[in-house]
Amino acid sequence: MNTHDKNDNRRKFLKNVFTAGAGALAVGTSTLLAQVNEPQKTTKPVKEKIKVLTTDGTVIEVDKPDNNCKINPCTPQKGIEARKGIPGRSFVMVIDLARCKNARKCIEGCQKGHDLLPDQELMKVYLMKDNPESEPYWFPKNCFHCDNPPCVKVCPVGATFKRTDNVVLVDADRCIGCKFCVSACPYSARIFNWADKESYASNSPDYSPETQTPSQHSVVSKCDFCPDRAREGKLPYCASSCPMGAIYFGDKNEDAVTNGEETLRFKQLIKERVGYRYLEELGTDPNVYYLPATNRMFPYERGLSDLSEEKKDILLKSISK
Amino acid sequence: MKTNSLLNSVTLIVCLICSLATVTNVVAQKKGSTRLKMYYEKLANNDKKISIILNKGKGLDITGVENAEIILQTIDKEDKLKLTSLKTNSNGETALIIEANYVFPIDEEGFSIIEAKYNGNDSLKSAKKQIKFIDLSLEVSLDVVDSVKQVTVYAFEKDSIGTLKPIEGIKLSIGVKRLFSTLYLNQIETNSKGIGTMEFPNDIAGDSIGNITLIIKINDHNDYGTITKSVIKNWGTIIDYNTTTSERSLFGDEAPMWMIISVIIILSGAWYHFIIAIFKVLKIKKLELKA
Amino acid sequence: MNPNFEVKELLEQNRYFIEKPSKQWILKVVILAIILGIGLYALVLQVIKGHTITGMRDNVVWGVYIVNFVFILGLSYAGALLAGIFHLGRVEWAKPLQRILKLITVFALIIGPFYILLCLGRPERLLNLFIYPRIQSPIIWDVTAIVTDLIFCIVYMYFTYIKDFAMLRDITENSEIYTWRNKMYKFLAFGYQDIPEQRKLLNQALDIMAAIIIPTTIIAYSLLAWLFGMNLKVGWHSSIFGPFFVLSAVYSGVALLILIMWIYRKKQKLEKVFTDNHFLYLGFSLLVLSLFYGYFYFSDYITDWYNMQKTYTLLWEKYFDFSQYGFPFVISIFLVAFLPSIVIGIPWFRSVNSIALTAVLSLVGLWMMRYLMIVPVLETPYLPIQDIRENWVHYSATWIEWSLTIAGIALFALFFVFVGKLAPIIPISEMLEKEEPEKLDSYDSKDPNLVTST
Repeated sequence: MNTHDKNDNRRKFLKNVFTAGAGALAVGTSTLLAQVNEPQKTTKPVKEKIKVLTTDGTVIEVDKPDNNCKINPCTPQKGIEARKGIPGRSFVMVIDLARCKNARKCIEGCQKGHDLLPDQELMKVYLMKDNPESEPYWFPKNCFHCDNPPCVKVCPVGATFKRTDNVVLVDADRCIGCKFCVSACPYSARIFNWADKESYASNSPDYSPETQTPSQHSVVSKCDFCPDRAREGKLPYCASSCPMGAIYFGDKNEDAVTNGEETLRFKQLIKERVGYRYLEELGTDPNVYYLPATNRMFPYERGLSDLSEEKKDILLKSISK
Repeated sequence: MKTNSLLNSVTLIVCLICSLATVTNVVAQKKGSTRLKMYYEKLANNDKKISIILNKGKGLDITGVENAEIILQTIDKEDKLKLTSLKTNSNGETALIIEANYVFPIDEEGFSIIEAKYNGNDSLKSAKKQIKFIDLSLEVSLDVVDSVKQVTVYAFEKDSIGTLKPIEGIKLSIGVKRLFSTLYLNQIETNSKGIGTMEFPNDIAGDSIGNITLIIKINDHNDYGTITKSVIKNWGTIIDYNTTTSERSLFGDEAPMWMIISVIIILSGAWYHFIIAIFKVLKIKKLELKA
Repeated sequence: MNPNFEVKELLEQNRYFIEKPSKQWILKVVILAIILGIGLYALVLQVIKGHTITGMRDNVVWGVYIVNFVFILGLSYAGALLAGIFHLGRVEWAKPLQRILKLITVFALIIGPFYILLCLGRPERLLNLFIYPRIQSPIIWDVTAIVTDLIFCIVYMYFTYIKDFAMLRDITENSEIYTWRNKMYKFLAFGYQDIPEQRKLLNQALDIMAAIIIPTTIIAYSLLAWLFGMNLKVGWHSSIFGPFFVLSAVYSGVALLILIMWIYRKKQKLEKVFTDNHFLYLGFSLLVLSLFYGYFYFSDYITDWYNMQKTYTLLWEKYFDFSQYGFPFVISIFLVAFLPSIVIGIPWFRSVNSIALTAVLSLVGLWMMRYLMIVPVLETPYLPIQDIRENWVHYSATWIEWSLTIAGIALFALFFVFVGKLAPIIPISEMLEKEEPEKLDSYDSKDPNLVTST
């Protein structure tokens, strides 16, 4: 063999090795990468801690301060204690009809928070038309927590009661299910738990009228202004779920209402936007104020787009009367 | 020979391409892009807080990266001084609190720089982010001048030797803490002396003894970040915290007195006569003649 | 108009109640028991499955049960009211009817509240009504009224039976076959031996009871009326409800009285007791009451109609819309306000049987009017019902509710069937009593008839 051939052979051999090696590497890497691409198992965080860089440069870890509790006691009250209101508060809600587009997120948020069946709505959204010439608008309506509540007056056992913080609650442990309050409410704010559900429990020690969970069958339920969330300084489920910020909630005594993004002075807001109460002439003194649907952000038809044909029919028929 | 070598090189190239193709085919996605967001804020007790969010994905699929290690460093001229490493939670968030008296190195313009770095992993790219801030201090004084409540805020920078430099043109939002949020009353701007004043209204509600928590906030300033200061002062109106209502009403726990009295009168009237009738009949039994 | 019957003759006519149960009687009991049994089965189903098997939903929360409750309670109060008025007014021709009236009162008052229990979501918590009562609530007024009235009426009814029990005790005194009956009558007669002083005491007690029953029933039924009248709902919030309900109750009571009278007349051949004149007098009362009823209803409507408010329009539309409540409305108005005038007013149509038929139809019409007063109103709240579920928009009663309604009627009839075995249906002793001139001042010590006990 001459050197030329030897070199050729070496080159050939090296090339072959290189090719084989590259191929092997390719196959190897691909399989490795394929394994790496599997989702990694997540580890649950054990405790909420936060790192603090001290003055001298050392880093220590401390427990994250839990500032959830704004009003003591923070746990939802039960029994007799639930009949006393949160001291010094007078809750009020303002709904801006110019913003509501029937997203129904308020309804869903409330249902999730209160363990409701999908067809039970403590907050309802109606399509209203004030007179033949006016434009229809979406009307979210929950319980108005009236200052002169027709429902509280007629309860024979005192299962529904008005507190000093303006909230009207239902004690499902005492309710006998006579449904007098449901018929007495002119705003159709109350519902009845007709069907039984597995998560329902009667006379449970965990039950609090402030949360209305665990729910019970065959008793009355309604919007409760979420006083358990107020104790933590959180807005009710509906107000915090609304994507348009249409629901403002706050304390009349503090003269401040907020929708989570902007905070306004309550009296000023009602004065400037000419807030009104629904069916004021009935004399119930509701605590939910509405801001008229002027300068709408979008036409009301936008709210019809996600609805079924059946529902659209019913809504349009209802406003044509 | 020549054809042999040509064939060899072709084979090599083809193999390389195949392997590359295999690699890219099997690993269809590239390393995902990540984004770091950093926020600087100064808390009410003068501690500073750096909040970091590490996100991956694009558009509507943005999610936080869980359990990622973020290394925080501060930059001192050319050196990088490692502060600490943090781990993100399930939402990709993490934070570091820096005590008030910790001294950050300052560059020529007076900025302190903090850099957050994520080294990436096998599927995610690395990311880096820096924020610059100058430590601004706020001093609040509350006085009553001619029976007018005044809030005076003094904004200043403190340099390394301790001189105070007033800052002009800082926009401050002043509000009161409410149960669910903060109600901002006004926005003021500091003057050349670094002082901004606001008249505090008389009709702000306080708690049961009239205390309010005044919040002074600078929102996301380019240089100074977000600064919050809170002061408790007895400038609010007093709210009645009594939870017992002794009012008698139709909807209350206790019925109106006239109702109770009427019911008692009617019922006792009827039952009194009823009992008389019963006694009369009982007497009949007594009059029975025994045969 | 009180023919002086021999006791024996009357008892001859009423022998059935002393004798052993006949085949017919047992058949009656069995049929009624079967109907009642179906109702009980429906009740058990409702207890197990909850209210979802009824037609009631979130807007119409009160359905057939409350209609029955209001209707039956109206019958009861009317019975007591008429009994009291006839007694205090010493209406001679009405003497044979007294017992039937009192039986109507007590039986209806026992059956009525069951419908409330059926309507309650949590009847096991009924005691809460007595532990935590709120006297501002119309339901508590109603419960107090019913309890008071029930006790008063049962005692009053017992008082009116005492004389007959005494007579029956005396008749079965020396009999060998009626020993247990004799013991029973002895106990129930409470030692009454028709001694003048005893008679005086008993008559005084009866007078007092009649006197307190009248205002009790009027107030009680007005309280029930205000349960609706004070409610803000359109169609209920009307000041006419108090008097309207009382009138309606008396109307239904007279109609039921005619019906029961007719049944006894036919079944037990009591033509000489429940004479044609009885039917005539009660028939005329029915006519007058139906005209009053028509007047009240028309007055309510025309006041609303002249300047009709928005939601009232939606409600009244339902009554005149023949695809909704039009037919029931027209039919029931005719039966209630016009039929008695035609059948009883026109002599050609008038007869015992036609009067009884009118009474039955009036009862049916009145029940339908009650239904129309309750259900369409609940279907017309201030806020429109924008719901796609049909049974949440319109109420339709299920077989459970109908079967329990019929079971209630069967129970009512069953009570009458059973009580017929205890004592005669006509107050024989009272009818035998001679009309005595009564002193205005009953405490005249110089009265020679007054026997003072020694």
